[in-house]
Amino acid sequence: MPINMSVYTLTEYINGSFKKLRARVNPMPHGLIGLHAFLGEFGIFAFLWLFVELLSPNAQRVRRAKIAAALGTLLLFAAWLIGGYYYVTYYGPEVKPIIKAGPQPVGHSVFMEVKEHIFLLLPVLSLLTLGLLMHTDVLKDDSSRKAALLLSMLIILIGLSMAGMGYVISTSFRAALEGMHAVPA
Amino acid sequence: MKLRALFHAGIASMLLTAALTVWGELSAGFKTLLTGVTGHHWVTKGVISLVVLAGVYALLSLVYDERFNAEKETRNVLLSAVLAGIVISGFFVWHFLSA
Repeated sequence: MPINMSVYTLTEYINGSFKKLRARVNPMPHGLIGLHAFLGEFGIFAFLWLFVELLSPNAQRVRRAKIAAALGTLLLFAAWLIGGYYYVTYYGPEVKPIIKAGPQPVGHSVFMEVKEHIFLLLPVLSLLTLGLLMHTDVLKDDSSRKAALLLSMLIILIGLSMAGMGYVISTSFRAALEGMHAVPA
Repeated sequence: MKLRALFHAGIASMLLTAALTVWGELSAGFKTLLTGVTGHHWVTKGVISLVVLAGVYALLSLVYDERFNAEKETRNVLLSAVLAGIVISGFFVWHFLSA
């Protein structure tokens, strides 16, 4: 930005910058966010399925619980890959600066930062749950069954908090975009 | 599979993720170092969490026997996950409010 600028030209400069920014930003949600949310939510549903199967287990339910654990783990890893690609390729360079310049910077500075880092616990917890189910007999060992129930409950709670934080981040982005569009042309 | 080794590796991975996150935010040099490994600090933290999980499991598997107390180990995993979550959340809230 030029240093010697009158108030008038400064206003024109800012308005011009917003116009360029508006032209560059697509306000439609990126398809990868939808895919990330789909994979993550179905991963959480898989652990909810596991939880229900283990409430009153028999041999068939334990077999289904193992399938749910494997499926949930795969879905969470896929959500990690897709979400990570979107985060590094699109969110960081395009969305983050807009949220931080908007009326709700907390959407990135707290919610996105917390979400992206706490998410890293989920693949680890899912692998522990899968390992536990595959290598213990939950029909004979009730403490292993309770352990699998507790781990899956923690995965479900963290997963629900991911969805909630995703909503806040989207809201912050939308608020920032609305602020940009409110600038007079 | 030695479940005690797996659970302890999981605890190490989750607590290290929290520690790396806070350290990276407090030290620009360390964050740059993390970024230099894969091109993005968050990707590096994710890779480290898996490498630590696999590496610590492999090491502890050599040391531990087959004993596994599901109740005790699960309680430790839950406490570690909650602690990691509180450290990460608390740090970013503090960081935002103090900026």
